[in-house]
Amino acid sequence: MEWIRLKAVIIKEFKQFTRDRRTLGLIIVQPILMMTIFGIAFGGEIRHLPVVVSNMDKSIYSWRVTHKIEQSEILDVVSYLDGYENAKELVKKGEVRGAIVIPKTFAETLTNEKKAKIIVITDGSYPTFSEMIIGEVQKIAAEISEELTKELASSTSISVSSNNVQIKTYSIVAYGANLRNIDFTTPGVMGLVIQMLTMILTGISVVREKEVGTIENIVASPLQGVEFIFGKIITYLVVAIVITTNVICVAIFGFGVVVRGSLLDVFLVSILFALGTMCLGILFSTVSRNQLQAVQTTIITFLPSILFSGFFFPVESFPRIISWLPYFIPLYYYIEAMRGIMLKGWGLAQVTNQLIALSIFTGGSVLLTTRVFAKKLD
Amino acid sequence: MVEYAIETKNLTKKFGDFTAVDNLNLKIRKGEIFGYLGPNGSGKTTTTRMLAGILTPTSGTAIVADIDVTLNPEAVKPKIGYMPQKFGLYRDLTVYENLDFYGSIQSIPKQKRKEKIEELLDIVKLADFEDRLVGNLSGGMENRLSLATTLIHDPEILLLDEPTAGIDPPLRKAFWGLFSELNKKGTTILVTTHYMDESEYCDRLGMLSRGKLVGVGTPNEIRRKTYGGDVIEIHIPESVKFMEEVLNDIVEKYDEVFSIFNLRKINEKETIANLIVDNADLVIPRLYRFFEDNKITNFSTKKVLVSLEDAFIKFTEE
Ligand SMILES: Nc1ncnc2c1ncn2[C@@H]1O[C@H](COP(=O)(O)OP(=O)(O)OP(=O)(O)O)[C@@H](O)[C@H]1O
Ligand SMILES: [Mg+2]
Repeated sequence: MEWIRLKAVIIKEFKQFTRDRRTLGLIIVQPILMMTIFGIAFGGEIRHLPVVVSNMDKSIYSWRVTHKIEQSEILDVVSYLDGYENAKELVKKGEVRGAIVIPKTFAETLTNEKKAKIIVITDGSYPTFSEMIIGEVQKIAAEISEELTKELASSTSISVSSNNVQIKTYSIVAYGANLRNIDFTTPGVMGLVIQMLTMILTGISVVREKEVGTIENIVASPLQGVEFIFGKIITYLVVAIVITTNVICVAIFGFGVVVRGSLLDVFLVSILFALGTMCLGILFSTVSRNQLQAVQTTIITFLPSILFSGFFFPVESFPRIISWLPYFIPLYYYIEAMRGIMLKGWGLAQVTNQLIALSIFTGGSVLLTTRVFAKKLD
Repeated sequence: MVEYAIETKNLTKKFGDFTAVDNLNLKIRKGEIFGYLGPNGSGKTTTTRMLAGILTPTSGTAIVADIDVTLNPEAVKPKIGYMPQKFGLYRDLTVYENLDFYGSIQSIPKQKRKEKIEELLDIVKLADFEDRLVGNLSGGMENRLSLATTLIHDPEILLLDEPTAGIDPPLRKAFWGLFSELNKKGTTILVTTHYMDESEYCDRLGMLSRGKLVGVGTPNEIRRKTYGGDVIEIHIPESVKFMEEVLNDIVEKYDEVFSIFNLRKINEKETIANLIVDNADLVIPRLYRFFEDNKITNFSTKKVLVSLEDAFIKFTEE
C-alpha cells in the first residue's frame, strides 16, 4: 500500500460522498427517522420463554398448575427443581428468563382457606419478558381458580361468593429493576438502524463503479485492489461514525434510555459493529454484478438479522436445529454487548467475546473483499 | 533492445462458445502508430483490454513493453496509457480533480503532478474548464479529458480505443496532431478507429474481422493487398465486345497484367474497365505503346488509388 494512492482514493470518495445530497440526507435524517419508526413499531408476539419450575408442594393441585405451565405456548419449561433460592439463582445467572415456584403450603392453604399463591421470579433487565411471564402465570392461576370454584360448587351444590378459590401470583424481580421496555429494546433498534444504513451506503459503492464504467480506468491503473478497498472503508468509517453518533443521540435524548455502563463503551462497540456491517456491505458490493443485486443481497440479510439476533425472540428459546444461527449474525453480538453495557452496567472486559466476534466479522469481510476484488473486467 | 512494443502469440479470448479474438499474432514496433481497424464486434476492444492487462486471455500470450501481460498484468499498467472506448471518469468530480486523482494513483508527487496537469489542460484545451464537473462536459470535452488522463504519467505505450469517436473534424485533426507529436517523442500508439481517413496517418494498419487478423501493413501495402496489385482504369470510346478483345490480348501479352475486372459500358459508344497490374507506373507506358501499335486512339488510362474504405470492406467482408 502506498499512501499517495490510498489518500487519492479517500479524497475522491469524500468528495463524491459530500456532493451527493441524497447520501448526506441518508446519514443525517435517516438515523432519526428509522430509530423513531423502529422504536414505535417494536412489538410482536413472544413465545417460548425459557423458565424453570420448582414444585415444592407436589399435591394434585400443584400438578395441575405445572401441567398447565407445560402446555403454555409462551413458557418453555427447561427443567424442574426443588427450592426457591436455586431457582432464583438460575434467573440471576441469566440461564432462564423466569422461575415459577409453588410453595410447600400451596395445597394446604387451598383446601383450608381456598387461597394460595404462586411465586414468579423474573429477570428485570428484560421487562417485556418479565411482563409476559408474569401475565401468563397469572392467566394460568386464574383458570385454575375458576375450575376449582366450579368443581367445589358442583360437589357442594352451593354457590356463594365466599366459596371462590383465589390463587394469586406473587412476583419477584431478581435483577435490574426499574427498567422500561424501551431501555430493553433500544440496543436492538440501534443495531438494526446502524446495520441498515451502513450496508445500504456501502453496498452500492463498488458495484456503482462497475455499472457506470469508472472501474475500467481503475483496473487499468497501478492502483492496488487493497488501496481501492481500504480507501473506501476509511471514508465510510467516518460516515459510520456520524451515523452512530446520530443513533446514540436519538436513543439518549429522544428515547431517554438509561445507560448504566460507560457512554464511551457504547460508542466504541457501536463503531466496531458499524465497521463490521460496512465491510460486509463492501463485500456484497464487490461480488454483485449490478446495483440492484447488491441492494437485494443487503435486504435479504435484514430478515435473519431481525429474527435470529435476539431482537424479538430470545435466542435461548430457539429450537435446537437453529440454535447455532445467531452465532453467524453480527447483530446478535451487538445486542448482547449493548444490553450488557447499557442495562447491566458492564464494561468492555465483560463483553470481550462479543468484541472478538465482531472483530472477526470485520476482519473476515475485509480479507474476503480484497481476495475477491480482482483488477480485471472478467 | 527488443524490436516490438507489443507482440502477441496466438492470443485468444472466448466468451463461452463465442470466440471474440481468435489466435491473434500482432506485432507492433516500438515507436510506431498502429491503426487497429475492424467492423463493430470484430474484437478490437477485447484485444485492447487484454493488452492493457484487464481482461484475462483464454489462451496465448501478449508481451507489452517487454512484460508478459498474461503472467504479470500489474507490471504493465504503469507503462501504458489506456483510454477505454466507454468514458470512465468520475462525473461527480471536476476536470481538475479527475486529473489529480489519476495522477495520484500513478504515484506522481504533488508538485510534479500539478505542473503536468497544467500542461495537459493546455494541450487538450480544457484549461478554462478545470473546475467544471465532468458530468457537465460535452462529448468532445469528455474525450479530451479522457485522453489527458491517459497521458498523465508519460506512458511508453498508448492503447487508445476509439479516441476520436463522435468528435468534430477539427478536433479529430488536433488529436492526430497530438498523436504524431507524442509519437515523435517515442511513444508507441495503438489506436482503434472506424474513420478511414485517419488510418492514412498511421504507420501501419491491422485489419480485424471476426476476431482474426486479415491484413497488416502500411496503408499503401494494404491498398495493394486489396486486389493483389495496383489498379488501373482504361476508358475507350468503343463497344464492350471490342474492349474485351483488346484487354484479353493485353493480359496474354504482358505478364505484369494480372486480370480484368469491372468491365462496364457507360453508353453505346463508351466502355470502362479496370486492370490489376503488378506496377502501374511501369505498365501504363506500355499500354500507351500497345494502343498506338493497334491504332486505337481516344483512349485514356490512369492509375486508380484504392481507397482504404474499399480495402477495409474487401478485407472484412468474407
Ligand atoms: N464480456 C463479454 N461477454 C460476452 N461477449 C462479449 C464480452 N465482451 C465482448 N463480447 C463480444 O465480443 C465481440 C467483440 O467485441 P468487442 O467489443 O471487442 O468489439 P469491437 O471490435 O471493439 O467493436 P466496436 O467497434 O463496436 O467497439 C462482440 O461480439 C461482443 O459482443
Ligand atoms: Mg470497441
